[in-house]
Amino acid sequence: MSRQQLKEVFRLNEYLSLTFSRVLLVIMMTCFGIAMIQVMQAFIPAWNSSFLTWVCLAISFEAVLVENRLRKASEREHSITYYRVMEWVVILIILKIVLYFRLGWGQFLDDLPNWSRDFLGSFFNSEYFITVFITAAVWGLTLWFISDLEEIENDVTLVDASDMGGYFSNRSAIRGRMSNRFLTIGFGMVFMTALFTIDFEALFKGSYIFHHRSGALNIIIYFLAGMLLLSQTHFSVLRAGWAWERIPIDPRMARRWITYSLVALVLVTGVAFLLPTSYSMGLLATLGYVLSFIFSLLAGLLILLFTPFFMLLGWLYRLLGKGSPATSLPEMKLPEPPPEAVGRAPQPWLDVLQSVLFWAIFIGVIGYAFYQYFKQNKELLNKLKQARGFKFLVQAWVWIKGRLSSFNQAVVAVVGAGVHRLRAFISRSSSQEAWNFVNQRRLSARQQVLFFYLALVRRGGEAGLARKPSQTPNEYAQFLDKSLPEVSDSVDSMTESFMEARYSKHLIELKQASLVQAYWERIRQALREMKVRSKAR
Amino acid sequence: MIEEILVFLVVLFVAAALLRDDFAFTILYLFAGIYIVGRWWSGRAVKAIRIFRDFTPRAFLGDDVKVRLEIRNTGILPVPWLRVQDSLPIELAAPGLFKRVLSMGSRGKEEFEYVLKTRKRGYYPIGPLVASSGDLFGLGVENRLEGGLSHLTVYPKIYILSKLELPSRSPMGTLRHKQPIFEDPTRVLSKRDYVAGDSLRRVDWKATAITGRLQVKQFEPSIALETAIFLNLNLNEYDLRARFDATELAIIIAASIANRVIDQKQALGLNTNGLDPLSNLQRFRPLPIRRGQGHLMHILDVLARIEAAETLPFLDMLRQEIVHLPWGSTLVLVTGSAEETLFDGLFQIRRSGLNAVLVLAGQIAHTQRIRQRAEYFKFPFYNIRTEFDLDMWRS
Repeated sequence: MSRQQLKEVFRLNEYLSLTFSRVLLVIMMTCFGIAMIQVMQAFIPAWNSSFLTWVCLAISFEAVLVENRLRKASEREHSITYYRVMEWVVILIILKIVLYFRLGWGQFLDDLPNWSRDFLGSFFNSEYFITVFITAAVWGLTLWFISDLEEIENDVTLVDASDMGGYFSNRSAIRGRMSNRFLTIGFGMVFMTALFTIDFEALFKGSYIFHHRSGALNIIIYFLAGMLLLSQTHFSVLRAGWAWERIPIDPRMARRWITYSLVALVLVTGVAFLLPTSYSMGLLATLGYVLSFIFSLLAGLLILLFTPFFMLLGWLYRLLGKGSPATSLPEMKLPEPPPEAVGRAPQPWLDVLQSVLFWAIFIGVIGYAFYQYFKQNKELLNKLKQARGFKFLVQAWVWIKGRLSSFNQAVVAVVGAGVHRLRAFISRSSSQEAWNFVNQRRLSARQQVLFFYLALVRRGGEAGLARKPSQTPNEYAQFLDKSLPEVSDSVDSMTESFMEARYSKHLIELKQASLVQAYWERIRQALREMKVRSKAR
Repeated sequence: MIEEILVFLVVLFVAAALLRDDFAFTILYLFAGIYIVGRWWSGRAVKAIRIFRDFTPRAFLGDDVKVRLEIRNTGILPVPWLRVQDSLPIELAAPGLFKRVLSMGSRGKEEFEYVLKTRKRGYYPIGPLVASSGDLFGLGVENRLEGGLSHLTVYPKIYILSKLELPSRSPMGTLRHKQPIFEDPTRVLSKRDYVAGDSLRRVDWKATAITGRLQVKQFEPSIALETAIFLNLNLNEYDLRARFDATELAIIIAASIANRVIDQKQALGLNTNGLDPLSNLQRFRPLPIRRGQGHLMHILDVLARIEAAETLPFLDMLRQEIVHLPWGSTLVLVTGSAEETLFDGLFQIRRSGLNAVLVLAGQIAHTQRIRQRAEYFKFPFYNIRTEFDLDMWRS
């Protein structure tokens, strides 16, 4: 990129940035004018000052425009002071015209004769004087800001500056100056409007609560415009460095800078308006609410965990035929409701949330301030650490932290074990086999046959005729036949039925199942007798 | 400026508490929000930046190397401003820095190109590329992102030495030779009638059957030129007034000879006492005798980055390394001076079955005396005072 192209890019960016800055300045100064009008309105409530807002807008715009023209004028016929005096004569006359335009021409005709008698007294009446005072303040401040803004308008010169000897840019200092002025004026606006709208009587009696002002939009706009102006001055400072180093910059940068800063500011403003600006509850009350919420949450969780156990206990009671004792609870006498608190409505959740947010932000700001402070003063922190009391505090904190940590671990372990047991319990309960409880009536014919055969194997084992794992059903049947010759037919028939039920796919009829049951009854009887015989020996 | 704002906020906070005005909190939130959003935005934005540098990492002297920079914003958040600075070696780019200030939209991409002029051989670092960005309001600190470092190798100037002939004692290579002692049985030159004393293994039975007379094969002599270049880059062994020019000339000579030898499809090795910036110990590890274009590029890479310094004496290096060379190899010694001790060393080299060629680079005093000594010991000797002297080996 050639130097000429580079200059052109810088010139374009600078033009857009400065134009936007001038617009912002006009907005800021108008807002400042409105704040002054509000203060005056507090003194003179009957004064109709609506026209003055437009006067402030016009005068700040005029100041910006004239300053720009005066700076650019290469050959002036007179000194700047001369131009300024002439400018103010024009402003004063226009202001008077504006006032008469509002009051009507009849008033002008009435006042006209008085001018010749007592010009100063009649021309500069109180309303005109206040109007001029506010206009002058807005005009003066605009001029103050704009002269600084004009000073940072030399990007193209800076591109060539490294060729010149001893040229320097002081944009950073100018920016600092402007930001200080912006903050001071802003603080003055907040303070003055608060001071003149406050109910001092209530404040000193202590009955004054946080006052919510809805008519302070001009102050918000002032600060928003001021922040955007600071953003533009930051851009200007950066641009100076880039111009000095002759770094090619993006031609779209100024446009994007304005867009992005506007977007950021809109987002932040949206959030700032959502955040709480007062607290309806004190710190301890808020903490109480938060803790009670946490405890109720924990209690709910515990109930949720133990409910299955209690349900199980209830089932066991019913299984054992012990119904819950039919003791009737004594009639509860409800306490008398407390008298309704005067002026204190029940806390809705939004209030609680706002209070929590407020205190969290408040404590966060304080904590952050302390953190930054000790970060900057590490020596002080080290000295504090060596102090006896502080050491004790640190040790106490470590002890509490350790206890909390172990408590936390224990709670996690207990809850984990409980959850594990609960899962095992649920999985067991879902499987019927695990309970080893069979409802014979619900079984199919095939299942019944299998059930009786398995009962045979189990009972045989109990009677000392256990089936070896290697034995087939037929082998086991032969083994049983030797020990129970009296029911050998039943054993063989039952074995055949079992093999049919187990290994065939055709339908097993209920008749066959009842036959198997009959075989099983006989075998069971034989097994019992065998058991008795062996005991008798 | 952050200090002024903090003071303002504290004063505002106190005033709000005194006057019980909740409005001040909105302003406090505004400033805090701007600070937090600004810091968060710039931090996130810089983290989402990806920078790619693309260029050919090797170039010959005089080439223009185009470097393409691609800067991508991989995040959704736009980057209000990003200052990019790529550090470049002063030998390749006049300002020494490539700088740009960008403004990137969401998932935006920017591409830049700059040209590096390869005016001097070397191994040059390109980068690191530093990108910095900050918030829009100037309340936070600048966030920096450092990109990768790449390297560009600029090869030394290479002359095509098509007339250069190096002696060799290695028989049966690929180079034709005049002495019949190096006859190569794979290269049949002609046939002649058998004479008493000829080996029966030389009889060409097919030709004998055709002609009806005993014919024997005559072979073409050939040699293998296994060459090792010994490049002296010990500054102490160069003339004080011209040591930098002479060392550069020595490197050019070595590169040109290497190119010639590899071009003849012969094997080549390289030894030098210069400093290698890529080596951990900075001591160059000799390149063994190998053949092929790949090996030549390897040698040229070394010759591109090697640096002359006050290092190991040339003769010491020579003594250390010749034991690893195969019998019959040719040593090309490129140095800046030739003392008596060097000739003693060369004599021993010759006795151990190796050939040596002495090439002196730069303006040398007592050239005549050195030439006489070389002739006495029957070593080929060349004094290359400037690059123009290489013309004697060029067609």
